[in-house]
Amino acid sequence: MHVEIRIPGADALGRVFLTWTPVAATARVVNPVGAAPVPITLRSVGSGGRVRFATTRTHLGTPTLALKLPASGKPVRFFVAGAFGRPSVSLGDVVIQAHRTRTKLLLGKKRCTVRVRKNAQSLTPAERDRFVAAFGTLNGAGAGRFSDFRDMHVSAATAEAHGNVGFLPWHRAYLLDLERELQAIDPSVTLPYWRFDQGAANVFTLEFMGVSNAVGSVQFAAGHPFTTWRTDGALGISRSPFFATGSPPPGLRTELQTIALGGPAPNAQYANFDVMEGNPHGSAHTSFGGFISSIPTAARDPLFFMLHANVDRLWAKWQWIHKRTSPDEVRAFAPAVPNRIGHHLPDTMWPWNGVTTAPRPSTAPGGTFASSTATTAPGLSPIVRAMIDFQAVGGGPALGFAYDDVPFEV
Amino acid sequence: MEIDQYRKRYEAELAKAAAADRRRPAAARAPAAGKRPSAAARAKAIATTPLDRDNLEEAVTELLAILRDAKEPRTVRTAALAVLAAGDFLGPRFAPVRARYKDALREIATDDVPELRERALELLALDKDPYAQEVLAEGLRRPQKALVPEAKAIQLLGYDDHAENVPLIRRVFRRATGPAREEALRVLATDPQSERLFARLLKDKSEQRSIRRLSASGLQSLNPDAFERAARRIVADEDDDDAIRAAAVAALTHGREARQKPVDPKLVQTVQQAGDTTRSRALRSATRRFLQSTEQ
Repeated sequence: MHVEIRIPGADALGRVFLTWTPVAATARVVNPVGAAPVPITLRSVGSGGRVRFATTRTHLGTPTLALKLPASGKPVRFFVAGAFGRPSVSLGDVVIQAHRTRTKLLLGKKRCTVRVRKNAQSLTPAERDRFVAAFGTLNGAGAGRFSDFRDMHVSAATAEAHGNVGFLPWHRAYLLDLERELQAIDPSVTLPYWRFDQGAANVFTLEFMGVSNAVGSVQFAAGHPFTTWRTDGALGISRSPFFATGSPPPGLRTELQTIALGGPAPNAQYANFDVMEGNPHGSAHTSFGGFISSIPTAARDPLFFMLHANVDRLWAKWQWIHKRTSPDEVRAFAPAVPNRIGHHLPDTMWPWNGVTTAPRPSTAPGGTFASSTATTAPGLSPIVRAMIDFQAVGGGPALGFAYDDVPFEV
Repeated sequence: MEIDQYRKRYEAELAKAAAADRRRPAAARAPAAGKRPSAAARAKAIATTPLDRDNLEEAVTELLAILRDAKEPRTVRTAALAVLAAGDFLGPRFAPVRARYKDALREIATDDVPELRERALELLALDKDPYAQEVLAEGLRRPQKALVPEAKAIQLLGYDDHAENVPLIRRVFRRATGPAREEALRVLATDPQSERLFARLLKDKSEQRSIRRLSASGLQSLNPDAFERAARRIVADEDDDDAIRAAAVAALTHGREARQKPVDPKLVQTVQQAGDTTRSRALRSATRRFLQSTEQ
């Protein structure tokens, strides 16, 4: 007799990826002995991440869960989610075990990964190296799929993604599309965020995002995957920090000041919060010279994606603390000012929608949105609305990413 | 971690920060009548006063005046430029004032303060501004007219991937030394006529490491097959610089993946041997990554 644990969304190799969002899973008895129900206890072990269990979809999961499995083999449903504060550090480092409750006999197990975005400053060297290796591969010395992402963030597309209420949703989609491409190369990878209101001495090193020389060309350690980085045909990355990289850039709103922009609870509003597009977002970009300091060239620097992961994290944190995760809540989003397609909740987003007639840009690089085995959301041509409740607090499929410091809470 | 406790703790942090912000006195961007705050205080006030949509036009007008005013302290003008540049990230929201901002950048491009000049020229060059490109090229043609150091001028001209300035950069490379040589090579990676130059520099063991590393990437960009032949020789050469061998392996890894080339057992053997026999951590790490890529 053994217990089979099934968690939906496994990839082709049977690997399961979880975030903080609970996922409905099942456990069932296979080859039962006798006709009596089998009492089991679920728990997680492993060197890195941990999961929690519940019988309902809640953030109040527990480290263990007792279930009674019918001898008929009928599956019993339970919910499993990453234990907040305990993400994985390597692929499949969490093992869910099913023990017979009284005898503690191990009846079944399932390996999984609690995969969430982390602070770049605190990545382990192995996590850092896997991330830069995957990103280097995506760039492919200028010939890789990254060129599509570079072409999405250009002058002609500025109005799709900036200066309006769709700024945050568009960039959320952009990052997720890129992250899924990275995960197709190495499924253990997530996009780390550069917390620009804190010192990040571990980020601006030869082994990670590089160190700028006197001219502002970024230098890397020998053999670093970014030594072959190329965009628009040219070699390398231009970036000159105007601050000491062990400290945060001066003049940027801190995380707490940014979260406060929307106004105090219970009336916090997106319409006020999204002024963060100027400071800290724009100010973080222009705390450097080089590619990252101008919209048409910013995406030529891989740091761009870590900067924007932090911008997105700030939005996610604001959504969580003020419970602004439902797109039906009027204060969770705002009307487009000025009125423009691509910035309303039901609008499809360029370039994934493939629309190339005005006022959209005349080309739509990259094709449809990258799919994921872990979730069906947001589909091949996402709409703005699909980007709001990224953890599916209100139900339905989640987008499949989370931040290490933004919990799922119903 | 218990979510409810985490929430309570974060709400308390927010409340504490909000109270501290309320106690903080507002700083003045412009000097108040009768009392002049220090340059550092004004620069800080400017840097921490964001351009939000409600005050945009008025604030930009004030900041442009500060930026253009040569009598203002350098730090104050630099702070004004930083806030304006961040405002440009507002995209369409910044559109009503963008033309005035660009005009000011062109004016500042010839300012007496070198940092302001360089920053203004960079912001214009990132936008492929023809005026900036012309003055940068002119500075390379006639160094006595240069507004920024030679290496910087080459880098800024390289922001435009169109080839107009490539013949000029080729000429500059021949006379350049130090960082200017490196910057020229970065730009010439788009120039088919520079293929032989890259092949020669890559092969030349007496060349600086940084030049050879750039040459590896440059040759790979212009002629991937020629690069692969050269890289195989370098990787197999135990007398060559391990940093160059590591760079060659890294380039082979990404080149193979990007071109989706089938695994070549001979190349795998060469890379494996290089990793097994070296004491260089960088080379070992690069070979490990190459070998992993061949297993996927």
